[in-house]
Amino acid sequence: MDRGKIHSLRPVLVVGLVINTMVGVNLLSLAHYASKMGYNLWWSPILMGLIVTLTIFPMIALCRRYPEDTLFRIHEKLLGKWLGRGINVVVIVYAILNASTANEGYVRLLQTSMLNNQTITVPLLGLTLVMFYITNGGIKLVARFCLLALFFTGWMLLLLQYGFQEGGITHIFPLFNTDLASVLDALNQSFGSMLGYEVLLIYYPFIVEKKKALKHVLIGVWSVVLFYVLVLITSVAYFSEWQMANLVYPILNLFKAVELSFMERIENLGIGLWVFLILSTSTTYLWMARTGIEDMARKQRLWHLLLPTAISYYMIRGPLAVEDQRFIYDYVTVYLGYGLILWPIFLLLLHALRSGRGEGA
Amino acid sequence: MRPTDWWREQVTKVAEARRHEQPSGRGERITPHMVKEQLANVDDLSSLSLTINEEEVHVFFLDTMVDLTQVYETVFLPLQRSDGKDPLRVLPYAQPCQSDDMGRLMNNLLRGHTILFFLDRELILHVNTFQVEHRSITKSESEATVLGPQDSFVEMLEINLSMLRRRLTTPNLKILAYTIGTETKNRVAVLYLENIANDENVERVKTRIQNVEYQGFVGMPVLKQMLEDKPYSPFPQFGLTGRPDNVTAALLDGRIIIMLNGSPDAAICPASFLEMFSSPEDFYNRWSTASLLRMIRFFGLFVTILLTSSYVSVLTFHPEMLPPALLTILSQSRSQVPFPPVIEVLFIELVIEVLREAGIRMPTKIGQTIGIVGGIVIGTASVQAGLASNILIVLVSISALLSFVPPNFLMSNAIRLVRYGFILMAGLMGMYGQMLMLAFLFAHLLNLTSLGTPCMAPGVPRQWTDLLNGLVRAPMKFIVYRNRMSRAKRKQTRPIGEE
Repeated sequence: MDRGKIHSLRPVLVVGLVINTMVGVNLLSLAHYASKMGYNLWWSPILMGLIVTLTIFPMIALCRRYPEDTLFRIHEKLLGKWLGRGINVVVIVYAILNASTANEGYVRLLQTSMLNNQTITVPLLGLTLVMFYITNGGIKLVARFCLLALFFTGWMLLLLQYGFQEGGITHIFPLFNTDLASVLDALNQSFGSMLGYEVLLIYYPFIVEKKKALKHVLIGVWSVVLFYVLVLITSVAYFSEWQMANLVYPILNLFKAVELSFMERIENLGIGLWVFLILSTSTTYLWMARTGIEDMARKQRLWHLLLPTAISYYMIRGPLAVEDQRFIYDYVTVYLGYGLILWPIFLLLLHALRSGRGEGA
Repeated sequence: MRPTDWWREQVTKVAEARRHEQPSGRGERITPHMVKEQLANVDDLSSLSLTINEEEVHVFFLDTMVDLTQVYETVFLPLQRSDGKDPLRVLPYAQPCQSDDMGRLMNNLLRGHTILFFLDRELILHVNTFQVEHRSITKSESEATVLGPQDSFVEMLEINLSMLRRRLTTPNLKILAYTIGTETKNRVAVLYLENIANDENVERVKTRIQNVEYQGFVGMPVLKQMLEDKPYSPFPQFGLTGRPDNVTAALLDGRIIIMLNGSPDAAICPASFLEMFSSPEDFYNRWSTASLLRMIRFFGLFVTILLTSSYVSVLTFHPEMLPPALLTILSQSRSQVPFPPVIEVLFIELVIEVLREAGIRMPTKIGQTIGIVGGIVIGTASVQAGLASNILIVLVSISALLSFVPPNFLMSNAIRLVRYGFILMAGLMGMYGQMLMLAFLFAHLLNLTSLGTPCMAPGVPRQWTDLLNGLVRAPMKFIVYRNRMSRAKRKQTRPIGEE
């Protein structure tokens, strides 16, 4: 098992990790979230990609200054033991929330579409156990799983041709027929689908080729942007504006455009296979939470993983009302995410101040 | 200290203590009487007291382990003609024994050596007179091929090693010998090509073999389980073959081979998951045919684990996935069946499993009859009786056939076991359950290592050229690099550039 700080993430694993952590449950509703932009929503991922790229630079700049330290260690070095640990707890909570967001969204979808007569207990338990197993294998196993998930699910992009053929590409015109308020609203609603790259702050020390890390992360990010644009262009071609605004999971309806002689309702297979994308997202965040606890405890124990797993499970299956959960997942998690992607700028400033005073790391 | 650490420490302490406790057998001077005492109630011990050239000689050997003619010709006859010369000169193959090392003397005697006590000279000699009947070299039954060499290993380590020496006439072929098993004293040979195999891998194999503590090994598969990285996994992590051509190819690729006396199998390490689906015949066939067959074997894995479980999930949870025509046929065929699909599938799968087991244990002719009775009579009867649908019989048969396609028997067994997990998960959560199980299965496979190298290479690519000899077998011209799995010292298979 790849415990400890060994440089184990080769370039292809970094790209796979970035892509699959970003692509998760949010893609299923991406067209719905960005529907405020109407038929112009297809270019919203490009805008998000630009924002992501801009926020990656400070992240990489910070990581280069602390190449062998995770964000948790950087906090303790820059902010001191107690304040650093306080912020670390927030980051760990954020990681657990993200794992729960992915799992919750997926099991609710399962219950709605495939397992109507079941409660979410058994499907969630199964998902949580597999998530635990993968995370227990360390970041290298998580990264390998991400790469494998890409092979298992990537082929589904080919199915977009069915939706594309049935729809009309001319829907994309007129271009830029929207206003700034709608764009900002759509970006705010759908930015959750771009989160995932910020885990870079934690796995950077494990990357083999650190000098080329920026390039590899950007390849991952812009591959995701490309996938999203393809999905949204097909959605624009296939759906009416009203449909996109009102269908909660437009991707499922896109699956319905697929016509095969030997299988109907291919969305069942699609949703089933989506578990690879969910697991690759949730395991990365769970690993992040575990690493946080380990870095704070300065040792490795199984309960460092068991605790966040159990919390993630009880967040969904515990006494919290579904409405409260939705608020946490849709707002608290995303706003914490905004905070985290901007946080490196503050840390860089702090680093510069301390270096200026001769207290370099 | 953590409980696991404490436990590990205790185990190490006990192992260390045992190692020190092992009697070296050293002590007072050995006499013929002491040998007789040690081997009291051993019926096949021959103990002779002779006078040769007016000198008293005690001879010991085991009747069951030597050829009497050979003992006479190589030991007695030269001694009789020696006219009292130094026995070490007269018997060129004789070796002196330590006069106080009873353990080693016993070891030699039990291995078929003849022990000679020259009391006047205070000399003890042993001569290797080991000669036993053994099975002749035959065709491999479990890894049969149409083309290529047909010989296979036998239970004698020496014969197996000679088969490999004949194929690899290079001084770089190194053979390390070990003795393991506290009771059986099995001889183990570790083979590798010194100029190709990775030194770290060789060291790992050596260390693992030296650390094995067990009373005895009746076959290589037992030892293999104790040497593998993850012994709890249902999947094999070392290759197992009975074919010398397979072993030769593996050695040339930089792998390490472990052979055990008394076992007609050799373990290949490290070995990747994909290699378990390769046959030596892939290289005897044309590249295109070989690639097709490899892909059939590999995709057969997916079909065999997903076919019957899909039947369960579609009929239990997602009947809307079937085209109307197929749904009608299925409904009609299942109309008489009173069980839920998962029980129906488990029932038929278990029947197939029982038939397979019964067919293997029975003599060949009865085994064939059982196959026919099971396949046709039970299958037809269970459909007519309404215990199973006829479509399920077709699916289970295809699934069973595909599970036997991998050339590696242990892999084939593992796949059949995993299939039950898929069926149960499909019965519990439909297609989601199947996919969750698939994710778990592949996460487990990604976690497996063979001598520390990930088994899923080149699925998780270590080197892009591995793909040329992975799922497909590219023309020989393109197979220039050794598989990265073996971490070979020399990367190219041809003398280009570096060589």
